[in-house]
Amino acid sequence: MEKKDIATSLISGILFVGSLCAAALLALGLGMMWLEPNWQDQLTNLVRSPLSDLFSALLRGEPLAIVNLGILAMMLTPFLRVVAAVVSFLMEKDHRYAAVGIGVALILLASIAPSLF
Amino acid sequence: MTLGGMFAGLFGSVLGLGGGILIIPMLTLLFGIPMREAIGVSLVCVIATSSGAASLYVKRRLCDIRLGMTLELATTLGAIAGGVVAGLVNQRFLSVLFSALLMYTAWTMIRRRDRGENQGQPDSPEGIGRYANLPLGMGASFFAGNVSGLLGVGGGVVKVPVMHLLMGVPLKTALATSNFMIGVTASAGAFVYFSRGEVHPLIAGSTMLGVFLGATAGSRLLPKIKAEFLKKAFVLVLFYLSLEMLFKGLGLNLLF
Repeated sequence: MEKKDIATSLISGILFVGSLCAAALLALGLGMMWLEPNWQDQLTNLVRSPLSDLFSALLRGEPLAIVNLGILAMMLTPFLRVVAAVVSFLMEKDHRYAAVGIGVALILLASIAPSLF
Repeated sequence: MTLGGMFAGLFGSVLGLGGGILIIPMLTLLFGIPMREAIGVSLVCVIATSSGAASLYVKRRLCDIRLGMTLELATTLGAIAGGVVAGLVNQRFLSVLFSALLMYTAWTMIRRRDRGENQGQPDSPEGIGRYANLPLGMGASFFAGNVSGLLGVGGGVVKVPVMHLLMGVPLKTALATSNFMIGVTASAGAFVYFSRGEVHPLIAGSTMLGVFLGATAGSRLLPKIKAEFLKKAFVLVLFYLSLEMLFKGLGLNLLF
């Protein structure tokens, strides 16, 4: 396989797998939630800092945490696509566009950072 | 909400629109969700529709990845700025702005039909030096990102004409490259809303799942559907929704 084919496959594959995984997590979380009694009550539960206790909630198997993970997976898929593009450009020794990709990744990280704390 | 999302995803993909233009009126007018939360949810849904389609476009080599990545430098900055500004302005003002965007989209659909679409040939990704007006394109991309972050849409309605008419990118490549950029742009804006707690997991999860299923079905149905009649009907729907959003922003109600 040529290097350019690897780049295309990598970027295309990440977008496809990322969105599919996110949809599967959403279906699982929502399915579990709809099976619970009084699930509508959770509609009023607006989570202000969803990442702060996401991992402990996931370990407890909470459906809402699985839904949140699905949303995060979808939101992070484009970031992973940018990282894949940077790797592909580096493999092609196209340093100019690798630098462009790193710039985009840094801007995305700046927008992601406030959600982590 | 999941059914509404499926509707938005299905019709959005058949008509070549991002889901946002339909999701926001659905969430605000039908479910009474505040404008900013609807925008946050819409941005996440826009990532879902864009990622699925972009995967296909990249595989078929319809996108100019280098051009997309370069313009993303501007769209992501614009989206973050738009997301921050949306947190500061009145939600009614956002409704009025969205109404103007709906009107513009409807007008673009009419013009696109008259001129005939899908002209131009897919391009092989090389350097981007062959395109004209790159600094102007970057400026317009910042504005497109701004519209995306401020109003929760993909911004293709701004990017495609800019790339095609201003920079000389073939229309098919412009459409595919715009879609390729939308996921990253919407993601930059979505995290601003997420950090403010304005992406409600249940509303976003239910709508996004529907949009994903609808868009997947839409892309499979697309070759079998004659979209021209649907487009004509949809222009009327967009004009109607535009008026509804305008009246909502002004604190009034239409009859229906």
